[in-house]
Amino acid sequence: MTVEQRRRLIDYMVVLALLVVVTVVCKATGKFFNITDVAMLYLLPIIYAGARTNIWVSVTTAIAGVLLFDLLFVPPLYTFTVSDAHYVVTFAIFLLVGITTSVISHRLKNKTKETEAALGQTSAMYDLSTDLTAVSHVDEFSRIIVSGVADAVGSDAVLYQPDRKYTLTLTGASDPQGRLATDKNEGGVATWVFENGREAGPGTDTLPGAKGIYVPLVLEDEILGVLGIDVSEETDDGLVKKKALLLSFAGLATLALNKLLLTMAAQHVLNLEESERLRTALFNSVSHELRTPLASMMGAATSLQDSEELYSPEQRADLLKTIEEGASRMNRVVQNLLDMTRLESGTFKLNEDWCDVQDIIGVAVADFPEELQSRRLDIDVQQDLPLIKADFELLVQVLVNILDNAIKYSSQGTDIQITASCDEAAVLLGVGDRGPGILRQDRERVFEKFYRLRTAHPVSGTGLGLSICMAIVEAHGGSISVDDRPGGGSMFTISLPVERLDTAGLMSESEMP
Amino acid sequence: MTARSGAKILVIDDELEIRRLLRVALDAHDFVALEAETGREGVEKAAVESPDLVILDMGLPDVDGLEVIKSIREWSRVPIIILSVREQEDQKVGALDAGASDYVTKPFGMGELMARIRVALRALAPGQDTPIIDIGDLEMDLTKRRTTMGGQEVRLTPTEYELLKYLATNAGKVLTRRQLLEQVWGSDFTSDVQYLRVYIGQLRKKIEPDPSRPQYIITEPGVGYRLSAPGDLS
Repeated sequence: MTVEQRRRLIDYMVVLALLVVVTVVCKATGKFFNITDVAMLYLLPIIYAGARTNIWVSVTTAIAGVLLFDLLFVPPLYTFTVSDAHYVVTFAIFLLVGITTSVISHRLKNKTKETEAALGQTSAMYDLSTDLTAVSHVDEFSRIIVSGVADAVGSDAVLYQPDRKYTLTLTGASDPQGRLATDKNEGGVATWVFENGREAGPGTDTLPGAKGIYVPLVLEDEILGVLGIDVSEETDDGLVKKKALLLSFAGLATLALNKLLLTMAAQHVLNLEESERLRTALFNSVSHELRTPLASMMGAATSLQDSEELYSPEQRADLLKTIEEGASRMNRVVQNLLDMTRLESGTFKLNEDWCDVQDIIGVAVADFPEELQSRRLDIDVQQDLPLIKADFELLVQVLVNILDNAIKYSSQGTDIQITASCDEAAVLLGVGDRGPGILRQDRERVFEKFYRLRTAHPVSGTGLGLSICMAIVEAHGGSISVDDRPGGGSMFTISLPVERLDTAGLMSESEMP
Repeated sequence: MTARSGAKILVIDDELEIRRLLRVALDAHDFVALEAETGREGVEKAAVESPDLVILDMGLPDVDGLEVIKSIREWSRVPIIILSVREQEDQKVGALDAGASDYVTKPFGMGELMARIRVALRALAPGQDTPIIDIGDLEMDLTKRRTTMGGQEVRLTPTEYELLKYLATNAGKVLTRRQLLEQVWGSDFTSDVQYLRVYIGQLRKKIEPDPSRPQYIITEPGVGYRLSAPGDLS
């Protein structure tokens, strides 16, 4: 027995019970009710049946009411014969009341159902549009649209969008293994819709044999995509409803997609502007950084060329030194540019192997043979530092950049300190100078690209060095920071994680006699 | 210097400025400079002119520098010094392992290049195998297996000694990590860089006045190590 049948049975039993009650009450009270009252009382079950059950139950109830009334109350009693013809009117009214009540209440019920459904769709659309406002990516959009539509419509939904080459491709499916997503023919239907800008599938003029209905997402004269739902198991009635729903969701999807595309276009413009701004900054700083040493080199070289006899051997040596230093400086700028390009290219890979920190320090320091002669260099490397797994040359570059700053920002004769120590987890590399120091509020910003300190004496630089250091150190899983150095100046600290290597076994042999 | 004057040096570089610069410098150092603009021309000239040394730019437009080295090595043991930029470590190491003698990174100092040339040419000179190697304060007596620094005996472990000896017999010339590991530890250890790092560190502690600013054992980043030639030490 189906739910429907069971409900009918209950309906019949309830109206039967009501009829019995009315009959018993009227009979039991004897002459208390006159016949008109009885007729009115018999209307009650009929009205109830009309209001609460379907038309068949109410007609049956009306007929049963008529028969009972006629049999038990209308003289002559206990026959279906009617002595007075005007009772026929009463019977007709009984039937009329039953049918009318039933029809009206039925309509009311349908109306309510429709209102509820509409409310449900509205709320589903509202939910969907709320979800869509938070979307920032097309993939996410596709996912939300198909799952939202599938939930609201109650069948699988798919979304197609054109790719860069303007070929329509499936970008979302509520069930990726479903009929719509896997059937090639369905893709063909979607493509037809995309190319013609018209709906297709069951319930439309085109390709009614398809499993799904597809509607284009049309914005002005552009087709942004195609939305489809599975209707292969729908009745004609259901099809009409689902198509109507699909159309409203398509409208919503079009608006949301349009907004998303506009936002993305705006973001793209912003990104372009940002990269353009960075490029301009880079260009300015680099051209300045390259031109300054070039100017001094050019000046020195032409001096030597034009009027060699004017200069003493010492002056000539000075001019030559100028050329050499200018060239080293340019080389360092170029190196940083290359490093930065490498780090930002996305294809950057650390060339890691076991490194001795003391060796890294030695190579970095050797990069400044002249400059460090005018400083007191104090290198303090803790005994038995572990080897670290790192990109040797990039770490050299980090130290070179920090040393370059230490030299540029401090005056001759001051001391520069390099320390290397370790604890259980990390090797710590420190570089201290006696420069002006870095204000607390600048200590994070100095590692930003193109950020330059404002100092009493202008210091040249691209503003790239420390940002490169940071990128390299972070690529190693380490960190870099700057603090005050006790006694004045800055202290840069690089912390690099240690992967323990048992070197004890390597050194087990004893010295030769 | 002991390098033969008049030695013929073939410069293979596509850049005119570099060739002109090298020609001037080589002339001034009494070498005879030959020039080739492309790899093919270079291989040809190397065959026809039999130079005493080849300076090869790794970034030639026509042929890969490595191919040039391989072609020359098929019939000649002429020392080849590579010119390369810093970013080409792998290429450098590949070239050295393929038989190049040494390398100089652009931009380079002329003194550095001349030192490399002298070392490479000296390696060719006959009758220089002496049992005693003198480099600055470092002295190695290979017959007695004794090492001294400024007259003070330095006590080395057998591995340290082998490593230093290999470096010292090639003083002035770069040795790749692979060459060092293979020579001292054997061919099974060619990728165990940590051995090299540890032993070089130990050696530096024993022979360098300041191990953080080494003067004898020089690191060639990404490539290997080089023991300074006697002329390199001030």
